[in-house]
Amino acid sequence: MNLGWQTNGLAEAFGVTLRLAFTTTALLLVIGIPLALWLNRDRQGKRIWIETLITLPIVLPPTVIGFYLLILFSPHNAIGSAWLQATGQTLAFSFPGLVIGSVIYSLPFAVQPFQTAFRNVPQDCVEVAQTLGASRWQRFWNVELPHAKRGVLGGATLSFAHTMGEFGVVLMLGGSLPGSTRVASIALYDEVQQLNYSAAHTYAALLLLTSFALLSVVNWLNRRGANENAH
Amino acid sequence: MADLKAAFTKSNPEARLNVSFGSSGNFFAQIRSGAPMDVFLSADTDYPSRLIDKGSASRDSLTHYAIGHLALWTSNLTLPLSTNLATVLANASIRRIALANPSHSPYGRASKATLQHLELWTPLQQKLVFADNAAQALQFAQSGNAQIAILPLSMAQARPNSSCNYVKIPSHWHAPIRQSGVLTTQGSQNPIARKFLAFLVTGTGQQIFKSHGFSVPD
Repeated sequence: MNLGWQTNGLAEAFGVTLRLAFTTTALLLVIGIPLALWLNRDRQGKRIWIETLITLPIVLPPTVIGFYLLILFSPHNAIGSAWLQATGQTLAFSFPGLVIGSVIYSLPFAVQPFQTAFRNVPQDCVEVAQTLGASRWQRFWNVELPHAKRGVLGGATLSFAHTMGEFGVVLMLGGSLPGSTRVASIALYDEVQQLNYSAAHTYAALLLLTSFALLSVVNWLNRRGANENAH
Repeated sequence: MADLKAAFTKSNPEARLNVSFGSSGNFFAQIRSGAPMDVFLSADTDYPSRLIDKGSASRDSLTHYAIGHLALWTSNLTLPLSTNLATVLANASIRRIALANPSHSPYGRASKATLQHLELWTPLQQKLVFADNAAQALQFAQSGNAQIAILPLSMAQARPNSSCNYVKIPSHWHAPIRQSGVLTTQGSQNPIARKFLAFLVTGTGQQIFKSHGFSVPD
């Protein structure tokens, strides 16, 4: 057994996984927070369709998302061909393609905690700030975000962990390219298929430990949030 | 497979066949863990042999039922498949070539050997995408994300239509794809399973393989 090669493959696969999780989480913060605020402002329930759409990835098999994205990314279709014109690369089998898939796949795991966090910001604080002449942006930045930061952090951690655990979407449109689309969960699957169970064990154990650690952080944040609200 | 099943159940009306499709590596692991399967048909001989070595399949049941071939498949009808295949593969309009993952798929291994034979494996490395199995390679190409796929001939042949084109890859460009089946430990107790495996190498069974793009073992 060539241990050097194995270590390289391991580092490369986890490198791609972490890069994907960080990029996805950063994008989810940028997209998810305004989306959560916008959904929270809906008093008559008119935006319930959007909310449902965003929640879908929780229940949809990842293969459904992967299948539709594969079709959407095809150079035969508008999005795929526009991307190809702009970059000279196909969106399928590329890291940016996986990022798009992951953002969609992890969207509810970010937006839902964000919504809860912003809903729990005491309205009187926001109103006081408004009376004192704070602009919308100042109210968000100095009042709402500091109050909601624990929930936002929890949502970010959860979507990070969820992206690390992604498999079906990547299997459908990744193409298992080392260094760009071969994430740890795919590498594990490939090793199992090759009957390299010892390598598979290493991937599985690392994924298990990382997920456990990340979820512990989420739970710890939730508890601290609950304790503070109770006091 | 549908034809084999139909032909077998015609002469054995009492038989109830449930067919699961998947990759040999996955089934290997599942049978090792006691999956309720009686017959394991692999796209190579390696996985069944290893199952025998592990004591999860019966040695005397190992049956070489067919020899597989490869095809070059494309939905781009302007590619001149009748000419030199190396020129076709190296065509600049091809951005992606899909093949089954050579690390675990027998057809993938043969695809890699073919590209190596043409001395294109290294030069085309940036264009290759690895599908989990041959069906996914076809899916990558059908959806237009890859312009060419290297597939089992049986798969290319099964879907003839006017919007795609394929050509058989010469068999001597890669090691023969010898497909074998075994009875699992559970299956060796099942007379119908034994009968089915034997049926594959009867005249009727072999004729079905021949008409679906396989050759038959001598």
